[in-house]
Amino acid sequence: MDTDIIKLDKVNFYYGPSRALTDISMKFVKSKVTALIGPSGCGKSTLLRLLNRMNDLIDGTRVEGEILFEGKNIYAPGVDPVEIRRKIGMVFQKPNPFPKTIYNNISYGPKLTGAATGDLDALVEQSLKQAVLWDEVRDILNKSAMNLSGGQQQRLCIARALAMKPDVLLMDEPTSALDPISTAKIEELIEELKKSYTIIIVTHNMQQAARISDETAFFYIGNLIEYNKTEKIFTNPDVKQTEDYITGRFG
Amino acid sequence: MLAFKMNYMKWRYFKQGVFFMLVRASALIITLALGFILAYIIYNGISAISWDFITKPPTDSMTKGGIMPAILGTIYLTVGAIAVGLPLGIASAIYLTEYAREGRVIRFLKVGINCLAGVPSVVFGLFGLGFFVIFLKFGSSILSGSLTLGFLILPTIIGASEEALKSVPQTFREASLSLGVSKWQTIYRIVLPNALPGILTGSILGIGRAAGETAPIMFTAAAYFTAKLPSSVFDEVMALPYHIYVLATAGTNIEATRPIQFGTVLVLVAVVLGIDLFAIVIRGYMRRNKRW
Repeated sequence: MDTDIIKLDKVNFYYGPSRALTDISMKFVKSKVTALIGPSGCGKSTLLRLLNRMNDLIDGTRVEGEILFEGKNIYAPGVDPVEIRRKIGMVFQKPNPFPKTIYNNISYGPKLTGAATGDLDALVEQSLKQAVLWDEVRDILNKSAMNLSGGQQQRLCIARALAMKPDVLLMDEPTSALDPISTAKIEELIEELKKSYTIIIVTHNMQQAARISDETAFFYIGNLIEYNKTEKIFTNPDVKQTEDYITGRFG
Repeated sequence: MLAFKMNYMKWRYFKQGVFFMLVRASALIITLALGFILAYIIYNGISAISWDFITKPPTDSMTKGGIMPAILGTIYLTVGAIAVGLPLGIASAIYLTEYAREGRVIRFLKVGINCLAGVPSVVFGLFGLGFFVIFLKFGSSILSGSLTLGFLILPTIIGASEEALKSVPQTFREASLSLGVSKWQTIYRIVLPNALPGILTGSILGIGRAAGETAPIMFTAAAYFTAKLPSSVFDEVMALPYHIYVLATAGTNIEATRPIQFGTVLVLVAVVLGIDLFAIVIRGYMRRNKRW
């Protein structure tokens, strides 16, 4: 039985006067990988950043409608965005480790938010193992994270997010800055992670969406055009625009 | 046709050569000017420098003896100015870059800070006299002088700190906030440590200025002569810049004390460079992990 973890109800989003998302209503299923696809500027990254209130950081933005996380509107007055972000983690397009040691990169969040209960060493090890990075860094935990390769850095960022034990992991084009081998590793990792986490991933790579996701949503100019099982979207989409996009006729 | 093209290229290379020469010449002129000033001071002042000169107080109506009280006074005042200016300046810059939203109030504030940077130092001196010395009854003292100098270097420190804070990549802030870490913790744990080397670099300029200014301390801290060393922050002190001014304009024997004047200038330059060097060492230490 599928349960919804996040539900959007008629969401509009504005950067100043210009509308970036129009009347988006959709549900994200728990413990599934959902891919958001669409041409640049279609609003998919904006939508992703709405889910953990990262758009709050940009001046002059406005949200209409409701975004329910486990039944509660995260944009309701009095909701602390900091609390939301502890439960909904994020991995960014460019690997962005802190200029700290590998160990401190992982322990940073749990330590500062007080989420760490018990053994910090064990949590660091567990998070790095989950991100399939442990074997590569177990002997250099006290070296700067900036020395790692791009692919390793991105897995470190995933481990850093996992250390907070979030319910949902948002990924904003996590492999677009990586080489094919690192990309393959991250994709394998996502396969593994979806057993315990809900993953929502923005990607420009059609094959990637087809390979790793269970559900796919296609966006175009701020509108949700089609949202269905990935298999259906990539074999027999209902809307012509979707078909044109995934077959490379535009976009 | 080809000949024309060749000539045209030659002309362009010629222009490039001329431009490079001009740029090089400007750099050279600045270096030479600085070198000349330093050489002049060293040449005229080195004869006055001795162990006694930097460890003994002046004697014989300041025509003989050392300048130890003035060295100590300048160090006290400079450290005091840093203690006032650095925390206040960094805090203001954090507010301006991290918290304030662009708007009329902020624009007004920024204009105000820039104006503060343009205020002549003697005006700061008079403000210090009126406010700290008389109104707050701190008297002519290390405290009044440090506060006055601290405000004098505030715009420099705010400017440097703002630039340094802005240069910390936005992605660091996003990464920290996305983990559910609060804004203040993000600033304190991520933004500030990464901005500190830059803040110090910019603040070195202010520190040098604090050590070298005469007008702001003339009415607020500096004594014409006192052989006694300060025992609290409410005591007056001698200070190198003011001592130079006194010896060169109002001393008991201006001509005879020329070597002492130059010697004092040399010591002042050395003290300023020493403080700068200290800041540079700290910066280097903090920067060792910086790589982005």
